[in-house]
Amino acid sequence: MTWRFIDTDKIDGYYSAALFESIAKHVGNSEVDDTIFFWRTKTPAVYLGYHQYVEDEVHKEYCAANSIQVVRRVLGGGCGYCDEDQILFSVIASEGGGMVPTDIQGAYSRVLGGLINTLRAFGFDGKLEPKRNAVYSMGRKISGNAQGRFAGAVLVNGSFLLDFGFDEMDRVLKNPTMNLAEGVECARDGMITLSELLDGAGYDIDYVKGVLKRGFEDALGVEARRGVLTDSEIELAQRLNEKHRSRDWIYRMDDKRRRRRNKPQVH
Amino acid sequence: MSYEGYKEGRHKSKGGLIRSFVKLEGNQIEDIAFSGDFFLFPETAIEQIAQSLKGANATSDSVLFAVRSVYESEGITAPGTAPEDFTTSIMQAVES
Repeated sequence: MTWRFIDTDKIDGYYSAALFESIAKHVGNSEVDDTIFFWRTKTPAVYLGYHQYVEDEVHKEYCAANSIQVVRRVLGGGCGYCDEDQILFSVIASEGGGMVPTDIQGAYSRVLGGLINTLRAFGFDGKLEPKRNAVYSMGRKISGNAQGRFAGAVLVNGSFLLDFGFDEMDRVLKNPTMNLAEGVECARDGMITLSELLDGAGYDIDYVKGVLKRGFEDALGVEARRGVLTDSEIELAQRLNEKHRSRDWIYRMDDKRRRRRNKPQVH
Repeated sequence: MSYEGYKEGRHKSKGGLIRSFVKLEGNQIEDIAFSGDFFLFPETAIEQIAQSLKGANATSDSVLFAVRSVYESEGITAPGTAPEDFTTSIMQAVES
């Protein structure tokens, strides 16, 4: 089966969330092929889970002072700090198409096999950690992931760390070690990057993207041809971008809490 | 950070942390809200879960019945987060 491959490389964090939402809606309606989508964030961003409070997860004053975007995604799960040294991906399939298993762990196992294939291609071990929806290498996390199902599509989103601002993550997130192994005290101790695995030997990002793409193709048993976004996908993404940039969307959870807190108490 | 007048329960399900914020009126749930890093498919069904619990008796059986009913009516699937997990989190708040 032929899939579509889209790589926008560096884009705005809000727009990235709008774009994978738009692609998912088009895949779900069978208007476009199942899609492997790669991007990197143009500026650092925190991707926040659907049910999370900004104020409980993020040092928002630090983010504002350092131009770090806070992006609320339409998927649940925990928050992650992302910078340009990660390849971010969304593997988006039609829910009834049979390419990604309907059971949730099965979907992670199939899709994240792409990360394990990639690590093996570079000569390293890779292991799926089902409790954290993550991929580990040398006992440390190299890929964090989230899954969503809506509008007839299933999405598995995640990151692949090429290099990383560990100390910045500790400054941005209030609970930076929450989704790392138990006992880890800072991001650097619980995470690993491709750069570190390669012992500083360096890498060509386009080559890494090619290996990652092939890793997903082999895991899914498909071929993904480089394609383009349709006008309809771009148009919807532009509309959704307004939502994703809006304060109302980003702070929707916090605002609800504030309204409850300010409600007059009746005794 | 919790709400004033609300009790908080925390339960780590296999699918993620569920935080419940419960306001009681006698033995009934007057208001309730959730946060956390769990997954629900669809995520928006969290609103229906909260709505179904308003006015419910603050007992384990009533809470479980209400949450389970929404799982069924909304066709919710949730990796590692069952109605029992919501109930545990809510009852922890109620009993705190």
